[in-house]
Amino acid sequence: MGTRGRGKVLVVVPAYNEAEAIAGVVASVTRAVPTADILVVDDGSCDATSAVARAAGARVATLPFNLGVGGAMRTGFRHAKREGYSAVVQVDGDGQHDPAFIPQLLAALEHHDVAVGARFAGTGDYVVRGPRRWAMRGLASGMSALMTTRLDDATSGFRACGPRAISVYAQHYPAEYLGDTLETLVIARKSGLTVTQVPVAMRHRNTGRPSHGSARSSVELLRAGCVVMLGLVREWPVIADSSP
Amino acid sequence: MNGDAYWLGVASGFVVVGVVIEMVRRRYLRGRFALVWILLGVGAILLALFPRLLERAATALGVTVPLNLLLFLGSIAMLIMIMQLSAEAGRLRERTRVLAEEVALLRTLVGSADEPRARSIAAEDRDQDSPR
Ligand SMILES: Nc1nc2c(ncn2[C@@H]2O[C@H](COP(=O)(O)OP(=O)(O)O)[C@@H](O)[C@H]2O)c(=O)[nH]1
Ligand SMILES: [Mg+2]
Repeated sequence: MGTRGRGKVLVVVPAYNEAEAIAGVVASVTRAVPTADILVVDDGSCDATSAVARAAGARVATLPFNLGVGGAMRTGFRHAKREGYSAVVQVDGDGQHDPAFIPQLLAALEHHDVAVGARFAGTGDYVVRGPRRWAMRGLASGMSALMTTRLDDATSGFRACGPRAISVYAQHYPAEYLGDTLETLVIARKSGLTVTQVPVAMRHRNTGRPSHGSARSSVELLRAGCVVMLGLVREWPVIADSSP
Repeated sequence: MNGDAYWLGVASGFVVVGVVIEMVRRRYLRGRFALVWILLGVGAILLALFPRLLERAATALGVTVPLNLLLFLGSIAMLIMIMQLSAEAGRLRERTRVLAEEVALLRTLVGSADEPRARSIAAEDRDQDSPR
């Protein structure tokens, strides 16, 4: 049990084959929040992600095989809980999240347990068209109703979590598809955490390719519905903290 | 039932029980699963030895063709076993995940002293068990 992180912020970067982008991400996070520690979770990448991230100055946890974003994030949360960090910020390893918004996300934690960086809440020019846009809109209104707070971008992976959320997510961070975004919010709600959103601008992806295209959007929406339902009916017991 | 089929049934029951016992002995089968298989094997032997058991049970339950009762019970038993196995697979998967996460965190503590070796071990893991 460490105390290295006491009162500090941990930026967790899930990365899968992001050797090209990861150094830039680490550098810009360092610039935006110099006092924060950075943990890059290399999810069994086949490229030099780990080495590049370490060279860039981040602490690197290398998973022995691919677990998906959920597994990578739970690794980060478990580390944060153990070391006593007071906040965890998730930043994607592909450079699409602008670390300049991290201070705003952290500020939102003063009154909430989870702050989601929302791409459609007015800032920036991130545009999605066609079915993917409709799917995301439908999802946004559904999730807002469910969470009883406005959430324009429930699938955003740009988030900050306070101490109570860290405890919950160190135990429960779903590994299934969309579990790492939607289901985590449902878990937050069921665990009595409060969620809010912070408008952010999103950068366009400059290396690699996004994991899902627009053609599959309606299927994705359906699956999202299932994920949310599952999250609602499942139990998420928070086991009392036995560690000192 | 003619004699040949009778002894065929009895013999296969004994083969199942024998195989199960041997597998338990070699520790290929453990705990609950071994018990379930042994019970099923013993059930098969009993039914083969005393076909009247099945007929009487079928009459009592109002099933006209005794064999249907056997098939029905057999499929129920299989369904239960498959569900158990799925649950077990899920639990094992979850535990493997947790272990992998812990290993990754431990490796960060051990530090980069033996980094090249750690990487080559990770690469071997991947070769054996390629990512989804
Ligand atoms: N840990 C982990 N991260 C992944 C995996 N696939 C993608 N990522 C990371 O998740 C982030 C977002 O991925 P991306 O494909 O850009 O998703 P999108 O932005 O929602 O289109 C990036 O930092 C990726 O490196 C994976 O299998 N495991
Ligand atoms: Mg992306």
